Amino acid sequence: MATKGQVGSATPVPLIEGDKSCGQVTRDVCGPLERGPTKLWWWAFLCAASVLALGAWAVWYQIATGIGTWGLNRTVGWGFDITNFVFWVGIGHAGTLISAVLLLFRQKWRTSINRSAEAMTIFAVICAGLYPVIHMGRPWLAYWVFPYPNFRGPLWVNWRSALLWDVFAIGTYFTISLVFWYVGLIPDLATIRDRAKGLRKKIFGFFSLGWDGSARTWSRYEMACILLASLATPLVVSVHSVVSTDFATSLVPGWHTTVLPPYFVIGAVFSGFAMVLMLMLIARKVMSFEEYITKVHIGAMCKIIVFTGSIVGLAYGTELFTAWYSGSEYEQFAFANRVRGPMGWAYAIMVLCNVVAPQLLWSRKIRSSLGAVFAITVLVNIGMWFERFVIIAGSLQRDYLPSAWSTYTPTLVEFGALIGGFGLFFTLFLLFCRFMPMISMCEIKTVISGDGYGGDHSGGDSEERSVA
Amino acid sequence: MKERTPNELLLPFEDSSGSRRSFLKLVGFGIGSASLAGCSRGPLQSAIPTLEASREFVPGRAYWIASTCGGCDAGCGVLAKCRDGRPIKLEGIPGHPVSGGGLCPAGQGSVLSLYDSQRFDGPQRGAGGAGSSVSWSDADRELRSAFDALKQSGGRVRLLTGTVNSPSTRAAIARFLAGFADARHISYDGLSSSAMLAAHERTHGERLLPRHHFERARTIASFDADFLSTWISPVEFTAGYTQLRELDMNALRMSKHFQLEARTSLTGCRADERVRLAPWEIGAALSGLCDHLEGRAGIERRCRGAADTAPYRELIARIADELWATRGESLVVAGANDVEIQVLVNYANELLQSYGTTLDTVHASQQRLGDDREVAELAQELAEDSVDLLIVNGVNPAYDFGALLPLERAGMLISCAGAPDETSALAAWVVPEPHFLEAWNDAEPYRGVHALSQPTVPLLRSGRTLRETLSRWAGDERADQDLLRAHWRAELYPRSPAHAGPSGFDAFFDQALHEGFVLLEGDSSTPGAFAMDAVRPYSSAQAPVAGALGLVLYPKAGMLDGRHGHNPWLHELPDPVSKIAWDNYACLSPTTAERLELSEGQLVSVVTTAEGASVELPVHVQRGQHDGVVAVALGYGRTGTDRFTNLGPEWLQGRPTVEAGGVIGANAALLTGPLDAGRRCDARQATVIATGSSVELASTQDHHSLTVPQHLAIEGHEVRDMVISTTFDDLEAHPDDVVHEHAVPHAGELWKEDHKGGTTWGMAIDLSRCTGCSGCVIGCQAENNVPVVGRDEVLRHREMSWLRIDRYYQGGDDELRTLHQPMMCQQCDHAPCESVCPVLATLHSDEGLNQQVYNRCVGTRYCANTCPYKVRRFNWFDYPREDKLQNHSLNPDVTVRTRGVMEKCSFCIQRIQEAKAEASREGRKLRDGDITPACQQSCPAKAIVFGNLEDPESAVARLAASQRSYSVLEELNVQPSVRYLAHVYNGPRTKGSHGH
Repeated sequence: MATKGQVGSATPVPLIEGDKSCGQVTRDVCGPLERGPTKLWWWAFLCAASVLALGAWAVWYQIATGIGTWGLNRTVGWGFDITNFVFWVGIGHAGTLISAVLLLFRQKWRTSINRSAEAMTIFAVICAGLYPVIHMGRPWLAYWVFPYPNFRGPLWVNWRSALLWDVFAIGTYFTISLVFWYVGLIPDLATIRDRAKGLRKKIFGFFSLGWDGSARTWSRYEMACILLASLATPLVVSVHSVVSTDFATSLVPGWHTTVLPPYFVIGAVFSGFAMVLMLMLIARKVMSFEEYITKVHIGAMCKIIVFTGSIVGLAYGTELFTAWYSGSEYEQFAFANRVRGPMGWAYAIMVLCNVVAPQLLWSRKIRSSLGAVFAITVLVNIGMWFERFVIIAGSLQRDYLPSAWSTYTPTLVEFGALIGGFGLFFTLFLLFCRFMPMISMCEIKTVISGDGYGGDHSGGDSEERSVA
Repeated sequence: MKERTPNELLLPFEDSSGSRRSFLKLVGFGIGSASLAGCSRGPLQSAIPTLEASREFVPGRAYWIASTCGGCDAGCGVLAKCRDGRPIKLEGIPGHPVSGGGLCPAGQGSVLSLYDSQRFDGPQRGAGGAGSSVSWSDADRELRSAFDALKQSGGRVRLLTGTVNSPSTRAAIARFLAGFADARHISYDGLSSSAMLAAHERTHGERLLPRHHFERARTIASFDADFLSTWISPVEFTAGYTQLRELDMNALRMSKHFQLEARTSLTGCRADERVRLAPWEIGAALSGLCDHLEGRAGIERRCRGAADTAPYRELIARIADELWATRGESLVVAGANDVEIQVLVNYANELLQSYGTTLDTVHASQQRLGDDREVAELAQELAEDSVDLLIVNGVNPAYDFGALLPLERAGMLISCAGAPDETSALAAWVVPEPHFLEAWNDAEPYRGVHALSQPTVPLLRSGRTLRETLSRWAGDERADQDLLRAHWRAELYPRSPAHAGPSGFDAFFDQALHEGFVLLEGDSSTPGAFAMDAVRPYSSAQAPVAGALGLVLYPKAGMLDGRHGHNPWLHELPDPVSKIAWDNYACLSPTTAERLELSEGQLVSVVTTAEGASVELPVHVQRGQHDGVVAVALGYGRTGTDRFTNLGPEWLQGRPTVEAGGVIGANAALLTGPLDAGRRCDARQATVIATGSSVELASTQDHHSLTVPQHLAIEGHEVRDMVISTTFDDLEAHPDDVVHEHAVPHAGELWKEDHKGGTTWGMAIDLSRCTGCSGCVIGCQAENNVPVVGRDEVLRHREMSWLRIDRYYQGGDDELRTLHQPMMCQQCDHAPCESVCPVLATLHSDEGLNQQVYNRCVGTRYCANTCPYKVRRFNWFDYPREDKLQNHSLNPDVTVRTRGVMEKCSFCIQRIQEAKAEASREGRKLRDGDITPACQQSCPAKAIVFGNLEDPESAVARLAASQRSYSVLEELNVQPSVRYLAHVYNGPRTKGSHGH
């Protein structure tokens, strides 16, 4: 690290603008939580909750009536459901990467965004976990995928099935992410506790686990964070690798390929960063955090997006090459069909959004235009959704026997479940913005250029300080 | 007689007061009544619960009752499989003199019609459906007084029936009609062969239909005769035809089959050489053929010069050569209902010495006896208002003829329809007939072959056979069974060898009941010598006028002439050629469709040029069809088919199978011409006019060829090799090469073979034998409780059939070759579906079966995705039956699957288990052939063989070792247990050793 609080660039730029003091950071972050929601927040929440309600209706209708209310058929057994699942798991990856990997690499610029990125991870995994459950023909029996002791034989699960690996991969990922996020929150929860009164104080007091801000507490806290980050880091690679084995271990041409694990992981990081950036761009506006989430952060994330986007492009090229080189007629056909078949339009969207669009970010001018960056992040998210759609529905529709070839037309109920996922995600995210410090105060205070490092770690400025 | 309607007894669950006690009573009744019915101890007048369990009928064990199929008039022998007092499945009687043991889709499906809740329950006065119920005694009293009045006044009485080949019924008809001064029995067939009978009247002096022996025909020339699917006796013909397509290495023989036809028929799909011949060219082509044959026979040339003007001159000459070379073992057939054409067919067969060998006029067929001329006369009489009483039985003339036969002008119309139909809706009285599985009957499909059938279930709906009804009206109060027995005692018993023996009539009759048939001599036709004078070259055909197309009306497998129009199984059966379910359509060749700027699904009006009659139908672009014709299937547009509105799941975007108040398809019978020209002669013309709107046709197949789309094809991999096809000469020359080039080097196993414990169930399917008839598809549906899902679900590619028949076209329209491939779960040894299920709901048995555990399935559909054969079927919804009564046809041995679980072919595991239990009970080992899955059982062509692959002596192991044996997608190393035997057609050597 060159200079404290700076990215190692030629002309040091402060990570946090506005020459903040520790007290001001606390006031800026806690303020919105204490003042009550703004009108803008209410509108956003109303929209998100309505979409969630629509999605909930779609899911209820589908569970009550049957999977037939989706557009799947004898040939295409998975469509929007598993596409959404893989998409949301991928979204989650950036949060872990930012909070764990960048922590281990001591990338200080992450401090402004890591809290919300982690929250995003958790909400994305919640959304992701929903789809494999509702996509079951009999979701009320979903607990059968867990190897719990039972008196039915006992019946056991199939350890050879990639879907079972998913259960454990996602389960582990969710647990670690949640614990990591919560542990990271504790100092900030204590800050809020210290500023709150009445019931609020009790609640935050309970969740801050008796935080006292002592050096020993800080030391343990940082050790716990490092340990959890070390635990979470392999998950960045493993979770999406396991998800990719759903496809790679099956026989479907277009799925059955060894390139899928790295392909999926890099795609996940790519889409995750795009989603984080998109959310940050919204949040800094809605929550007036422009001084905390600066162009430095945005620029850094843009660079990661253009880097991962290029690898994704390489992966697309690799799978085409491998298919050609394999000499397998079904493999070759699967990719010819992917590019030029009935779902060729989806492939075109995927390439345009994931490979072409992020290349624009090489230009500093575009990187510094918030509107352009926002548009590109949206495109990348669309593109990454289509990537999964192309792989899943596109490969299934035409496999081995020409007699069984089919097409896939999603129904309204499926669109309901699709947007319902976004409704759930944004509802949770808005609630998080409203009730939790969405910027990690304690970590920001280590990077402000104001009154320096080593001041009031425990949060709160000196006037309001009341250590229990 | 009201005691004879135990319908409610078979519906214990609908009985609101259904206590356990009453339920047991009902069960007791079911068994007791079945045993009474089955033991022929006299008519069932009343029933009491059994106090002692019958030793013959064990609850939970099936028993079999021999009968004769009523699906059409071919007279195939069937065994009705009965469980707990009711029939649940029909199977062919092995070795039956007509059918030989197979059954067609219509036959398999006819068991479902028994449980049609719309059937009439007793006599009705007034128009069918809207009429009021009357008791049998009141109806008989009223009708008899009406008949007495007619006898007094000498009124004109006409009895209009389909083919009646039941001798006892014919006797009853004669007795009844004898009482009237002017009475006549008129018969016609919905699918008429009247011209064949008339042609034999001209050439042989007797109106008869010869028996066709395809099993003796080494060379077959078929002019538009769809003898493997719908023509006269398709099960029998398929069995015979495939006997000469036997390709076992120790007996290599193969008939040569030429098909000259206008539409693409299933029979044409099997032909060794097929050309497109317009209906108006058939006469000229046949005349040319006869010209050639005359030349070779060296007799007086009646068709001189016809060969020069015939279409396909070279082919016709070659066909003549090949027919002549095998004379005495050749056969010429034509489907056209045109006497002139049929006379030429007879002439060709006479020249080829077919009579007495491949054609039997002595034991003539009685499967189609209808006479179109008589119907024309009846139409005339009706138009003159001179018919005082018209009784209709077994046919549906209001549907078949529409306005051409003004039924409403009969003084009194009595319909004997079992269920409401177009004719019963016009009738003053409905005197319903029972379903054939509820009734006594006999039949004589061929002279000397006497079939006998008995009730398999007490009457579900109150009905009376024509025999009993007419006898009752003629003053004979005997019960139906007594009438039948009396006839057999008086007429048939004296002719049997048993007559001389000591056992007596009862033993003779019981034996016939048990077997389902008896063969008797001394009952034959005596045709005269061939009348050469009848022969003249064909002259009357005309090509369509400019702008018009030839109109071809054809029957569809399963639906036939519309008699199965209320059968949901048969509606959902994809047509074996077009693969479209739930509709009929106007077939146009690709060239013609392009010329008329029409595409698949566009609605057109098909308007006959002569009368201007029209029907509105969607277009189906049919490869291999003649460019000059439009082909439309008969049998659709039946009234009352709006009942299927409620069939299939109802949900947000679900569309009904048929709009409320609508009908399924359109009635193409309305396009038939004037009756005096012969019914459904193909020499008609129509114009096709686009209406501007379009619909989707529910096809189960989207891609119709093994060739992948051109723009996606990789060089060298344009054609996939699911079906390996070769020529007979290639096979003979290099038998090892047939599948060799498709073989995949096997790298050895990573896993140890863990189940090879002496039994690996496997199947061999001979693609050279399989005709694609689809009998197995309906057989499987009946056996395995496969639900009907409705038109919309088929459109969404969610049909549930466990066994489908893939159809692939190869080649252009002129040299179209069509390949059929039955496809079901391949029971892979390395099943990809097994490893992916997270909850172990699909498992491998130690006998090599891939077993689906419905109870454990949570429905991830992962297994279906990864199945390379796409044979797994998912329950997208609950699929209740449109008609709850039809639940009674469910097989209790097979679980009815719930929503959200996966299902698939199980190799009929219930039959495997049953055979094992039976063998164990008898203290022996399982023998090869003990287990017959439903598909194999139904197959008339014997294309499917099931057994233990590990037993080298088993039939299936021997076939699996054949040089033609291969497995589909062998390169995936999933090791399927289903082996296919390469398709072979009788053709010359191709340049390499492998023909595609």
